[in-house]
Amino acid sequence: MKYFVTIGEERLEIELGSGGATFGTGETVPVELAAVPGTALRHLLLGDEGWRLTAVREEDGWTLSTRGRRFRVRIEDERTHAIRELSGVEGSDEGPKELRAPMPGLVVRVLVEAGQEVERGDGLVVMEAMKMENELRADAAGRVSEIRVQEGATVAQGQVLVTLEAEGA
Amino acid sequence: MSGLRRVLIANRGEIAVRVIRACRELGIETVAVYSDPDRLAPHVRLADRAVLVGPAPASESYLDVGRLLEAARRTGADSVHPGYGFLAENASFAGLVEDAGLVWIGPPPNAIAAMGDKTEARERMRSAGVPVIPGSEGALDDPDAAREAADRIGYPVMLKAAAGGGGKGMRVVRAAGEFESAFRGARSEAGQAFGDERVYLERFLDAPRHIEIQVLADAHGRTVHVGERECSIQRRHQKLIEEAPSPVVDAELRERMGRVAVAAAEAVGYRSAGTVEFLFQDDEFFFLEMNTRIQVEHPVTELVWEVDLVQEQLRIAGGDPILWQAPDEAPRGHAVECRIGGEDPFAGFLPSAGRVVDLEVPSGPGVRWDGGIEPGFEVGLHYDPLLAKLLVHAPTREEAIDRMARALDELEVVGLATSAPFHRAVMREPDFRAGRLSIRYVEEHADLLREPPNADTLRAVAAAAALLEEERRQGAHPRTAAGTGSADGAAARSAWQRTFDPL
Repeated sequence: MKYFVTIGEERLEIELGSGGATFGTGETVPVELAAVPGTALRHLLLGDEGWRLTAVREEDGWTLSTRGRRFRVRIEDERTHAIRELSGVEGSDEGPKELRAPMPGLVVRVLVEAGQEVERGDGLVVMEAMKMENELRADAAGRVSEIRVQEGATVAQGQVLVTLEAEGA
Repeated sequence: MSGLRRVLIANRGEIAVRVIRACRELGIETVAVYSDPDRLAPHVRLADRAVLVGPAPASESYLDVGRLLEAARRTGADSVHPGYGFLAENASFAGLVEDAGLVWIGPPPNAIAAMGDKTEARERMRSAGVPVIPGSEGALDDPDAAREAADRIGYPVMLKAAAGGGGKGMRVVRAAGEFESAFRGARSEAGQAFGDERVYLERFLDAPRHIEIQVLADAHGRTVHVGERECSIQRRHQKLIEEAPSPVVDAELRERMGRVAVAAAEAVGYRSAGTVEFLFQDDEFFFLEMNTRIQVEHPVTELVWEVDLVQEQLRIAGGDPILWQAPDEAPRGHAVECRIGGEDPFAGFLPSAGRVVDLEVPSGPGVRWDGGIEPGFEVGLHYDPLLAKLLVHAPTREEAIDRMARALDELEVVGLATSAPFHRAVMREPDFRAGRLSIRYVEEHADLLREPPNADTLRAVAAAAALLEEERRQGAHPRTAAGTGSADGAAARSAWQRTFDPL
């Protein structure tokens, strides 16, 4: 089976077959992923190269961490990838984006209005948690399509706060 | 043998665990207090007794003086250890504990109060011969007065609002010619921010180090210093990494700073463990403040000075003299501490919460873990984000840093983001390794975490993700493989069971 993997801004193709994992470079390596029973701890053998990993399933992919770094990983198989390509929505950077609460807390201020154009890095919402105010910013330019929270509201982790439409969409 | 019999620990997290351990070793019983969500917290499960003191918000539980005193009374505790944070430097709580006939495991309430008032503390220290940052006496009327004061003190200087802080009304002045506009600017900003235009002036330190001296004082008239800690790696005044000894303090300077710290403690009639903090630059040191409690970073001192500071606190509070004697060769080796916080360094240290799904704690030679979390524990947003302290001890600073890098690589906290990646990056950073430190280190190394992941890592993560996806689609398998002769799910499962599951 062929997979399309998105790790942050990087995209990798990988095919799992009888000879192992084949990467975009054409190289094929035997792979094995073992789990410590009842835990999120994994061990990957890539050929004979050992990788300590942890894996937690998320709504839209996985959070993997290894050697001190955490990665949000999205993955789709060839078929899903092809359908999405055909539907005209190229890649995951386009289309509506959602700003979700990274932690439970209190919405202190909403900094934008519906319809407003924002640049990447613009502040959208200020949340308070652990007595610290944290500004949540747009990770891409776009237009605010909907504000889903009010100032003063208590929100759960992962709750959608603001939706953005990508520029030109 | 300590005179204390049963200690109530008015705290939670790693410091409550630390105090319980010290009590156990001295044969003292322990009483934990806890809030609703902390029912199964490590400190509760370790203590001999445990009392619920209220709901999650600290103001209704760990800070509720009435409930804490009631818990002490009900459990027959004879003493209270406040840890750090919460009520540790609250003189009126300390007084209420004593009024209730209990022993306060800390300094006398009036010593806490004297050091708590920063202006009063500065004056007292000045008269005790402790160097304070030179500044103007009182507010300045005009740029000329400011210039005269600056000529006396030496440049650069900083103009500061008399009524406030937080960076408002502050101006750095590096030469006499800059006073005219800086003075006007500082005054008007101070007026707008605080409704009070008065400004004063202080020597400005460009890149000072934070170096502090640990002191111990008992009721028998003995006050000693236990060397220094360097805590220059800070973010917004929160320490992140501490070490002992400081790479810039030699025996002569240590003795000089130690004598000053002892004088500072004696000037307020100090008892128990305490810390005198200094800013250090160009071979000069200036009093910053005194922390009248056990500090988060106390274990680095314990490792290189062969002392148990919490046990000393318990002994001193029980009326015994300080047990510790400086070893012949001290400090011995080098110790480093990294504060592992529930904060995401890739997102501006945004607090992170969640369940600790799994935890792998580093161990092996020279590693110490003072932790307040366990697998399954829910980290909420009500309390300080400090999850644990990771410490190492090695013969030299270089070896200690390498050991810390190794230990950090072993650490896995699954379920929430932690500050560990920041620490990993610092351990490899050349300025840190060379001991070129100042309290501006973090802002000057803002690109520490910008390094993109290398191709090998991306390849491994992508392969793992593909195998996980395969596993998910085929149903849960403990092992998934391709090209290793057991690509088939069922074969993989039986291979796994053969190896690891004799049933």
